[in-house]
Amino acid sequence: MIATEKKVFARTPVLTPKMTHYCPGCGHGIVHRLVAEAIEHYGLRERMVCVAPVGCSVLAYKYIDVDMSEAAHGRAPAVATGIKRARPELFVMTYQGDGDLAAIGTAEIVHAANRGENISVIFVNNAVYGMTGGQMAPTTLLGQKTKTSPAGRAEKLEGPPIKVSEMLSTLDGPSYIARVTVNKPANIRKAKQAILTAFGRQLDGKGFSLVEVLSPCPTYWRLPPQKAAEAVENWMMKTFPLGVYKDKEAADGKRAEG
Amino acid sequence: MSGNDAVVEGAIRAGVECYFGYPITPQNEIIAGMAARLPGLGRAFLQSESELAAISMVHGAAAAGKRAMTTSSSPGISLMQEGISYIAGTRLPVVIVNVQRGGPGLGNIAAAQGDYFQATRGGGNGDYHVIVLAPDCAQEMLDLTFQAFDLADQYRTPVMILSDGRIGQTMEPVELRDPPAKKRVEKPWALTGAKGRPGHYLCSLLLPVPELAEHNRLLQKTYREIERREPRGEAYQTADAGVVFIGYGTCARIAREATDILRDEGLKAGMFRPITLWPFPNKKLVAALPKAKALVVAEMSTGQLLQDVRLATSDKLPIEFVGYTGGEAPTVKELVAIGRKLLQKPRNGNGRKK
Amino acid sequence: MASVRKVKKAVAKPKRRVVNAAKVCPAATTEILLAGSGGQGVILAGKLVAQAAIGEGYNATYIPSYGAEVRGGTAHCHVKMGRRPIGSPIVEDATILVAMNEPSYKAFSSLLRKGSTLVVNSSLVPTIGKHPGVKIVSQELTKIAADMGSMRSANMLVFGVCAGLVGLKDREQLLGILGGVLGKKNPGLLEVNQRIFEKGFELGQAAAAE
Repeated sequence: MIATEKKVFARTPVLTPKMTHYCPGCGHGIVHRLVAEAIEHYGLRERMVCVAPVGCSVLAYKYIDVDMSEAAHGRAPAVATGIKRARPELFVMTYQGDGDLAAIGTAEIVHAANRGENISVIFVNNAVYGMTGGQMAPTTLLGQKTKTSPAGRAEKLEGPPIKVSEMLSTLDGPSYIARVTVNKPANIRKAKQAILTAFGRQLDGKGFSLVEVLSPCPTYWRLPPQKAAEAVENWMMKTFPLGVYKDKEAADGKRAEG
Repeated sequence: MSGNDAVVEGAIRAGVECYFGYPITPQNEIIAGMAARLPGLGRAFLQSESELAAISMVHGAAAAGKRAMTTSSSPGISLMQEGISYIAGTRLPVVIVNVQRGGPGLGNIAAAQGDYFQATRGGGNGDYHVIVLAPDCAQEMLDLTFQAFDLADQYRTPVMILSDGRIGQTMEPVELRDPPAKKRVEKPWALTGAKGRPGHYLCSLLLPVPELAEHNRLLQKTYREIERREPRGEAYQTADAGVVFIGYGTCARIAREATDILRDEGLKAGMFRPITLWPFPNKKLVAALPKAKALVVAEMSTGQLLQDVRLATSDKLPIEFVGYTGGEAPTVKELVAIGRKLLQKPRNGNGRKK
Repeated sequence: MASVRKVKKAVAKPKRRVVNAAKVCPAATTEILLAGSGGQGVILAGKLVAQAAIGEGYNATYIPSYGAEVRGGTAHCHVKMGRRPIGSPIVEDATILVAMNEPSYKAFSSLLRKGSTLVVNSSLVPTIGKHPGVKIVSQELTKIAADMGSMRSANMLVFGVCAGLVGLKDREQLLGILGGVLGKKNPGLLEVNQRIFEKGFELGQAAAAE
């Protein structure tokens, strides 16, 4: 008797077979896959819209085979709001980078979060503007050298990096906010769990959820991919600690217990 | 009913499904009217955090295949130019109402027409147009709102209603009619969830040069078709008119009244008003000038409409220009005096040499 | 030589006509400007006049001053009515100017022409200038309304005066419009306002007949 083959892994059909344009060691590819797997997990492909940002992941529509809308730079949460209000039955998510979400689109993300808009946001934070060639981002770390902070980001000149998860968790609107990373398999598994939780909140009608994903940018951190992955841990996470910053369900649970 | 209230009524009757807006004078009656009416009808209303967000919300709702609109006034419309350019590039049907006020900058809240170029020349980045409709009374605020939604769907383009504070605030009788029954345009391109089909991507981004060039050719083809089929204007008493007043919106009303007064005096004045500012009704204007010896262009700006009139008439006729800004407007009296001067000169034979 | 002079004369003629504003724009429509301080209710009074005019088959427009200028400062509105469709909604030559306080009188008296009617609230406008050819209806509007039971209802007096002056006739309709605005809140208040309106209506009709 021949033993039946046991399939242990398959690419989720939500991802297209196209090769991504991302640099070696970039986190976007992994985050795309986690998002696609979460879409498959909940069976969302045929009842969702994703809003693509302006930034490195502007071409995400080529890799994730779902209905997608463009948004002007930073306006993804507003476009997503428009879609969600127009068709509440659809699952609506945005996929945004740090320049998009934390600089030019600050007003849109704050107000979408504060409204408790029933959308899910994947926020990829790599502390730099990748697409335009490595300029300073709102999340660029103190001392970090970029094309527009050649001497390193200085608190006196440019202010400290914006901590989006912490900031948004001060609002009463959001249901779930967590910071994760994709620098190594254990963290990737946790990241997927957070994305599943976030998506679940929308599906349960609980309102706004955001997962901030710390992602390495070897190209503009000027590090080899392996070192960049390590730098997430021993450099970036010192400013941006991982964790769940807001969880209304857990808080409610606690209140119920108390 | 005020012109602003008529927009609310018109939009609801035209089947607006989503409204997003941000308060600004002198159009606040519209956003308040929408807030009061839409939720009860099971349609979406949301006051956004800015005009940037409002136009992007409209972008999203239109991408989802719904009839979506926003309204604002001049400085707010400036902020929306970003979104309007994206929407035009993405070929989405949306309706935008601009109840113009004084500019530049924050200007004031009085009626003005200084946004003519911004509206008719595109406004945002890139080669695009929006269809621009110019109502001259509350009734037309209602009727043109119907048409705006139909035109937007038909051509997959943003349509702007370019009004002003005076038309918006003036109350006058409005017949609350329903739009003519028309078959709704199908929207197979809409984002509805990719059920049984590959995902749609609605975007203005086309990085490869040939793709964007081709996309622009398609846009231009649509614009040429609109220019062929949609120019609208109204000619009033022009068949035998020696002097024709030209204005839109508030100025058209002033010109019409001046025409009536001159006609009472037996002077052959006429009035032409463009109803579509883009596409400008070039042929209709020229056809309205069979006997015209001179034109009077009246606007609450400083030579914007004038430019289109000069282009349409190839500068063949002398033009008296009456332009005001900052909330000032031409007066009936002034136009009557100009009309009289122009119409009486030849009769008196002042011996001017050829 | 003689012919040249003749031409000059003929050209000069229209210029002279321009000076006489009343002749330049024969009043095809009735133009009413109502002005007062914020809170005196002239905006509402004007709206009711326009509504009543439409009810009696006239064309009419109404445009209030709006936005920031209304809050606390002076308020005014333009009402136009006539048999022809109304062109510009803005009053250029006032057929009727209602000035409820001194700043309003000062701001808008330049709109008065020969044949205009000035309705002036002498409770708050102690002196007025000379207006040759203008019919003056000077009444202590605030005091009359106060004496009749509601100082705040001076605007209903104004509504009545204007309705009488412009020759609106349908008393039932006029009272109905009044009731539409005030009826639900307080029946007692409505009764007072109706009496105030009636008083104004009589004043207006009497002034029109002069």
